[in-house]
Amino acid sequence: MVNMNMKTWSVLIVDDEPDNVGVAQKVLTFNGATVRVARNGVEGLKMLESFFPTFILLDLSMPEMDGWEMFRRVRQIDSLANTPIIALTAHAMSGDRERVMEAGFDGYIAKPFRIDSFLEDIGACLKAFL
Amino acid sequence: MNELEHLFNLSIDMLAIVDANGVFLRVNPAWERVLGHKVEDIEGQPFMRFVYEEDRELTQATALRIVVEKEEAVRFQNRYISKDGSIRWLSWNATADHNIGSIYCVARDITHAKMTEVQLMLRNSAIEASPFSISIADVGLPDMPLIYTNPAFERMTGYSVTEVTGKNCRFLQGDDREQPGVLALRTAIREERPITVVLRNYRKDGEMFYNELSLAPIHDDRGMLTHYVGISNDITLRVLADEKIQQQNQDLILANYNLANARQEALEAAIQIAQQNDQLKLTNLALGKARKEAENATRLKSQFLATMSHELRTPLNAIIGYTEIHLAGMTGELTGEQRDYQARVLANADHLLQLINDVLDISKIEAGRLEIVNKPFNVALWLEEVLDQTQGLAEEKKLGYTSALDQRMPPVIVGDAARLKQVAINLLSNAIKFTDSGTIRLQIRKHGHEAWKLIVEDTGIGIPSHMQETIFEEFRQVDSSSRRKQGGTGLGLAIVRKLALMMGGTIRVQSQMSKGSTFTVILPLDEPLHHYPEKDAGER
Repeated sequence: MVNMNMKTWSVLIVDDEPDNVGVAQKVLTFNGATVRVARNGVEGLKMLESFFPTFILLDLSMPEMDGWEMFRRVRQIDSLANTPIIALTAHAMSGDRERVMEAGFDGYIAKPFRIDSFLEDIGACLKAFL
Repeated sequence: MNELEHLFNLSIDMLAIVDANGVFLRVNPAWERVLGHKVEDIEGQPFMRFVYEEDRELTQATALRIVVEKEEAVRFQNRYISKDGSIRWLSWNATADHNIGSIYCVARDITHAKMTEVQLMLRNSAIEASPFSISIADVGLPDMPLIYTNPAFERMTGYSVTEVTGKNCRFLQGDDREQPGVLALRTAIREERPITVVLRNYRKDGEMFYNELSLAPIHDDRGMLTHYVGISNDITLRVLADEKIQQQNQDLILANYNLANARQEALEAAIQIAQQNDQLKLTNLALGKARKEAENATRLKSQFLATMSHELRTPLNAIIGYTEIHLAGMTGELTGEQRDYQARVLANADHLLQLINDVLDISKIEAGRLEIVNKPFNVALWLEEVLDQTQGLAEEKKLGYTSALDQRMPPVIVGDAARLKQVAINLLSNAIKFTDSGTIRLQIRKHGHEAWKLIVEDTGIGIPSHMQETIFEEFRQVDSSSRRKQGGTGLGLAIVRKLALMMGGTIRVQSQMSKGSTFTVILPLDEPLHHYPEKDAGER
């Protein structure tokens, strides 16, 4: 298990798939992080009005408002301009990572993931961001 | 009456006695028959009174020759006026008795002969003056020679009457005998009927002319053929004009025909072009449609692949995630059996993920959606990354693992680093998978001047020679039991070979059962023309 202090983390997970939310949420909360969950971009944006996460795990394919659109809108909010946003997506074909990073996301984690690499990738992303 | 008196009265000829003053002393009854005047109306009258005015001078002179010059038996002709005003030609024989001063005359009415003569002379003059050539041939003489030709004949042919008289007219044809006109002419002559023909004739100077000849038979009063009369006209100008017109007509007809042909051809060509245009348009439409359909199909295919990839990964994420959560003890400690089973779930989930990745790769390659993106990359860094991702596997099986980079290799080469990595890792994973003890060797070697080799060597179970070709086909492994034992999708080598081919390379395998296998990928060596910054190396 990765040796990281996650107790100071507050994480917003935006994903419409309950089982995917469940895995990420369990791993993060098990390690002491605070997790809030939104089922789409609209809900996520609403949540961000009163919740300032350490970072956001954002699925890309969602109903109502997808991850791309939510990402664009979050980046327009001054107070959230420096909040890392990591794409957590099952779009894992060649070119998908490049597309995500070119759009300006701070990290990319493909589903399915292994817990170790999931936490490592988040850690690496936060480290690079700070 | 005495004898002489009888004869005087019976005479057919006109008898008269004229005195020295030119007065009729006595005339016989023949005068009355010829001139219509009664004998008693003539006797006692001066003869000059009955002489036609134009002939009076001549008659006076003749009378003087008889009376004054005392010529004997003077013959002459003059014209008298008859009672009805008509003119009679009279032929005279006169003599004078100078002793008593009387003139004795005998006159014969030659009006008929005279008129005939005049008529003949006129006809002759007319023939001579005729603008048409007139000739007469005598049937009674051998070879039917010409006996007369008029001046027009000479003008037309150049031959004078003396030159042609006595010759058959065929000399005008020269050597040009076999003419339709000549044949028709011969037939007409044989059948004694009139004919009009056109002949090619030749002038005395040799010049050809077209002779329109009308020939007619002349019969005597007993109906016997005696002569032929021919009337000819030089119609050369007309014939030439006709020929010219005919030629022009033919030219016109030909020109019209050609024009019509050309128009028809142009029309047909235009129709053909229009048809071809239509065909082309249809073909273009069909092609456009086919291309759109193909593009659509490709788009749908890659969309399908992307969706499949996404939809298969999503539940796997839950399976792998929750299993790991159990194994990590986040839900409390597991029993040994629980841990064992969860590990198996995880291993199978991993296998399933690999299978999905491979199937999607194969599908992408076959859908033509997999692109090779060549960029410069640092070979040493690339090799390091490959080792990083495979060393763990070898360590797990406690296998030796060595690598070698040929020093002759350029530090930076151009290629698709990610796909090359996929090839290398695939081959290495296989090698590790099918090797239980020994060493895995990875080598990068320069091969000639324009190629390089990626060599993966193992000391594993080996591949029987009859399988060494088929292992590169989809879903082929040496045997199904090994797949169950070793895992793997059976797609790895197929993907490797397809990728190698797409990158312009080849792959081959050498293997001995129980000794090991060596996979060699030979790839074109492409060095960058410019120096690229380090950060490009080994990245995609």
